[in-house]
Amino acid sequence: MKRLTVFLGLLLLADPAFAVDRWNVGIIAPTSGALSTVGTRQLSVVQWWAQDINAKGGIRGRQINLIHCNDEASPEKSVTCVRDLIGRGVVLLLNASITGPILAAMPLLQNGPVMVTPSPNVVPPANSYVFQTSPSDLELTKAIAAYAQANGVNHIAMVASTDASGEVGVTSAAAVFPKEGIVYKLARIDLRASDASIQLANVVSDGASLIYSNYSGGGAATVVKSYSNFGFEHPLLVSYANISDSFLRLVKDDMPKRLLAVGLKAAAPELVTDAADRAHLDYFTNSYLAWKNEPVDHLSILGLTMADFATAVLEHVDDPANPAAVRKYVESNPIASVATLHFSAQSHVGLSASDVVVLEYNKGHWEKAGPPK
Amino acid sequence: MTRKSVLIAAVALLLVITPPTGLIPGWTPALATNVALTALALVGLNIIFGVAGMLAFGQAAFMVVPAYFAGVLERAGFSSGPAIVIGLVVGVLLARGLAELFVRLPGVYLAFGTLGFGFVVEGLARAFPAWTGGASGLVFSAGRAIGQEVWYVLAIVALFIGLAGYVLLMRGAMWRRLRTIKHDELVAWAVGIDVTRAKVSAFTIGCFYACVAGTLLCYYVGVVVPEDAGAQKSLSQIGMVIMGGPALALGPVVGASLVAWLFFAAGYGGHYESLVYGVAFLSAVLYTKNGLLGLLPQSWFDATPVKRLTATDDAESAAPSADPTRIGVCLRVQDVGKRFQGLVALEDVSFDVAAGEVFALVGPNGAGKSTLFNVICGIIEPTTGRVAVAGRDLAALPIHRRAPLIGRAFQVARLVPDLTAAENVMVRIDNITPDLSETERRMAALRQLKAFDLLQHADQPVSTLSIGQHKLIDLARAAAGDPVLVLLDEPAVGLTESELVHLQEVIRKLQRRGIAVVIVEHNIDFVSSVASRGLVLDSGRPVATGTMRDILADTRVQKIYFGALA
Amino acid sequence: MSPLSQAIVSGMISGTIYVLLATGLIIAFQTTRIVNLAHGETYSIAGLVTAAVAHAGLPVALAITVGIASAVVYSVAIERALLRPRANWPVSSLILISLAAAFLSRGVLLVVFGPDAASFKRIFAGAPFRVAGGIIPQQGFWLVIIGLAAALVTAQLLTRTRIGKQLRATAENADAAQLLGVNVDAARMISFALAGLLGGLSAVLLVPLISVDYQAGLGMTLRGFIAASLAGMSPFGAIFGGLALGLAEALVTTYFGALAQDPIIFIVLIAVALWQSRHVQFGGSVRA
Repeated sequence: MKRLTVFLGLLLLADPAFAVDRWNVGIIAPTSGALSTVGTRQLSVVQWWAQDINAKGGIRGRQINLIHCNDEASPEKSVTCVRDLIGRGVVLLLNASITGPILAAMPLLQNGPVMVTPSPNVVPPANSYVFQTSPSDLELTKAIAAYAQANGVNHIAMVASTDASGEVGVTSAAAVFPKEGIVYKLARIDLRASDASIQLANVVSDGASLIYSNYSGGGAATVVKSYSNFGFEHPLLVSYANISDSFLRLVKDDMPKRLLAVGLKAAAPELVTDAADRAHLDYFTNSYLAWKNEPVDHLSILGLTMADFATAVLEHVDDPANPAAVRKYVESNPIASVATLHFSAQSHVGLSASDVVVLEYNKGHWEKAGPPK
Repeated sequence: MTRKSVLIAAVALLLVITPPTGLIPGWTPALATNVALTALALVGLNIIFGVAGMLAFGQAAFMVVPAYFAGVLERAGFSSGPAIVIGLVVGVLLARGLAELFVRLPGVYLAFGTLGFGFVVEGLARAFPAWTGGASGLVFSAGRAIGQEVWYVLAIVALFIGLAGYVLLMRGAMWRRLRTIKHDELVAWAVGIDVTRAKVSAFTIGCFYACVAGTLLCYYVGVVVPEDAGAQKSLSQIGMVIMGGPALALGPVVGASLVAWLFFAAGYGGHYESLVYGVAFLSAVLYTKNGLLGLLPQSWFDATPVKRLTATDDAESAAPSADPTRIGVCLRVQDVGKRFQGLVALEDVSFDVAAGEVFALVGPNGAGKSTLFNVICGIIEPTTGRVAVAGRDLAALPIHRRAPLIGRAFQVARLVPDLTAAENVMVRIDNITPDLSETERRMAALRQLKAFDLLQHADQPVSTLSIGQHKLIDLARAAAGDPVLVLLDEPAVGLTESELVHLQEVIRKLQRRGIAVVIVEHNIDFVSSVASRGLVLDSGRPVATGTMRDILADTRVQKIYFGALA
Repeated sequence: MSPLSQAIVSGMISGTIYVLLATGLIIAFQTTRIVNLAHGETYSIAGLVTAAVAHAGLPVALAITVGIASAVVYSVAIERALLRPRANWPVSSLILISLAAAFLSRGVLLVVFGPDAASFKRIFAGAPFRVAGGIIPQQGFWLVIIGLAAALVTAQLLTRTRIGKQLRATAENADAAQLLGVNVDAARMISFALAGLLGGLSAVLLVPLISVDYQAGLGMTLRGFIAASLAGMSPFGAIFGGLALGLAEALVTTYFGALAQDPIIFIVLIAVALWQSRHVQFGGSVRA
């Protein structure tokens, strides 16, 4: 009987839910299904973060216990994941999924815990416990508009996919471009299209000086390859998710004359002016490469902002399981990452257009883009 | 404690008792809620696919249509209650309408047609973001008013109501009808089932389950996205039904639970969920006849013991009644011809068969005998000529409406393997005397089997019986309900000597009941012993007609069978 | 630059791929009566394997050979290991087996190759051709030529030659065919190998123009089946069916936008299915 009790006791201790000397942090990341590249990449980053912190002794003496749930990019599974993770006592929820599932998760967090996501397509309500650590798609589009204006471009050809990011991109374009006096012609492209020539033929006219595609992943490769057939002089501007080696590998044989991308300054490290931010970025880049044997890309950087948020909260909030306390802290204190995250009672989006820049791929690395012409 | 109650207790344990305890890692009330609502939709899919055999990949689409409608109405200012009701009505009406279209598609075409429907719904949801929320999703907040615990209870209750509905619907005549349709649509028509109507019913009922379950699920989750209507979902749902056990009431519950839990378990280890799912699905299709639940011994699924024939019932069947109203010409075939695009299958065929008479159709293979049977049954329309049974011209009558008048036994006995002998006979009785109660129908079937000396096999699934017994059961079925005319297509093939003698007695019994019998046979000895008159066909044309003795003595007939004689 | 011309050019390219996929499905169907729902996986397998070999630094010609060979091996394995031992099972069960096999191979591809998309260099590089206001890359041009030629040759083989007739005979009545001297086992294996070859060919021609990932297979199967249905399951018809589908998609996208593509195409599919099956009675049961 005694042995049984001991055995059961050990079992209980082994169960993470009973480990009181650890930070239980949940991460919802789709590792299968439609956009599993995003989920897989950002899960890796968060896993790196957890092991890096733990190797240094944890936060305030407690180790991080990371619990992953695969929501398969489906709202149905997302709800189950959230409930499951809350049931397991997570103090903080990281979410690397896509728009629909995140929207499904949000209402479940009326009483906490705090959830943080790096998806630019989500703008959490300011009175919620949800925070978004990257610039919103609107801000990204504003940065594009700023670049266009600064270089006298007032005519853009745009290709947007039929999925959620394409949809958000279309809304942002409609909200931003006309106000800045930019004319744009838009064509949508199906998720499974085998060629983007039709779209390009439809939107590119003599007036346009810039072609913008906010398509990510394999589909963006389709746009680039179709683009190369046309021999256009215009620069091709792709979305932040394509600032990655895996994307460049896909298109290396069909590179456009000039490949531009919109993204965080951190994607071109020399543009990060703050020394601490730069050091942090360099540390992450090298450490992650050593740990995973995989270079960082823009998606990983966004994952890092999410992890940095978690670090700040766990370090500075006495009881991170108290969502009101976390919100109070986060809304009044800047958070250091590869750029400084600012939240407020009016905005739960941490970065803005000023953190965003239009980059160009030149001689093997990303740098600040010159004028389009 | 019957086996049935053990099964029910097991389900209760699985869905109701274990989740809150956390005994099984990952099996939480949240997951169980999800599983219960999914399983409810799958019960409907089980009716469509498991029982009726229609491979439909549109269940996911029907799950979201009502919710999308309700959501659109909510956005337009309606409050949730009316919006949901209208959404459900629209969903069910749409299913009913589309059923007419879809059930007319055979096999793979139905599969791809319903899959296409899913793409249409998904595409429409994406194309009108202002109404449907587009790719980012449509948000429902009404479900938030109910807490998680209430949803859990609601989901379980809904599932049990759905299962009760399934058990009540999928039994008796409805069950027999759908199983026959699944196995062999031609036979279904021939025994009097209006297959199209039956399939439309099954499809609509199945989609109704999808509509209700889907609406509950969408409001519980709070968000619906276009992919929820799509191919991925529908394909995995068919997988769940297959893995759990098609046509078994609890199959969907087992399937949904298994797949949901597998994904959760495998999901904690990287990219392995798809692989594990694929292995599970493939194993289920390859190695189990009836999914996971089907691995239980057959005896677990047997129905409660049924009535057997008593002595008094016995007496009733002892004296075969010769129906006094049955006199005169039962079958009149006049100048029947059939051309298939230039090929003459039948030409100028005419003969009469009287009540209680046995008429033989003989001729070499390909002479058109089966074609003639098909014309009489209504399976093929004649190019020329008329067929009348009991004085009634059959021209406008579809196959299933001729069935009460005509019984047909096929060349290869076409019985439904997983029904018992009695049930196979009951299928015909269901459709020609629908006014009888279930017990009366069973009694009628048992009496029929007794008359054919097959009573001892009444409650055995026909898959366990021999070919000879199959042929006799086929015959018993054809003659059930005393049709005016019985068509026998090579009944003597493959029978032993003693079985042949038995067959002769059986045919004489039919005669005594006043039934007209037309028999196609190659066994000349046998057919001469039972038939009085006959017709010889060669290449679709009548060569000789008259008494058996006359036609066998006819030199033209001998030439056909034996070549030129010395 | 004329949108109409571009639509026709793009439609020809995707159409040719559908022709190849449809022909593969039709061969398997004409020989075994089974609609092989794992057929599209030959596309993703060939594409991913070729990309992996090319990425490892080996010459593209070798990569392509290995890629196509793996598609052939996969297709033959499905027939040999899964379908042939169960040849007497009802056709619907066999179709479900092929579906399950497709799921399994997708899972394997995810584990082996990961979720990322992959691509490789074009075989036919060089300046694109301009034709009547539309642009076609050289790879696309040769894709159409080679693809249609392969489909034509296969159709000829299947309908006009003795071997082809033997292949078709095994579907009608395997026992009779065997008695007539046809090596039924070899016939089935050849037809699935041929299907795999065509699937692999479609991948090595198209993937350099776009990319491929572990999920691409099912979508390709679907498109191939739509084209095959339009063709009435006839090998020569496949050429028209595939091109018609590709052109229809391109034209709908050009004039109605990408969002209209799926709804319109699939409503047409349902209509075509209704038309095609109007003569099929009794769910396709054996004739009385």
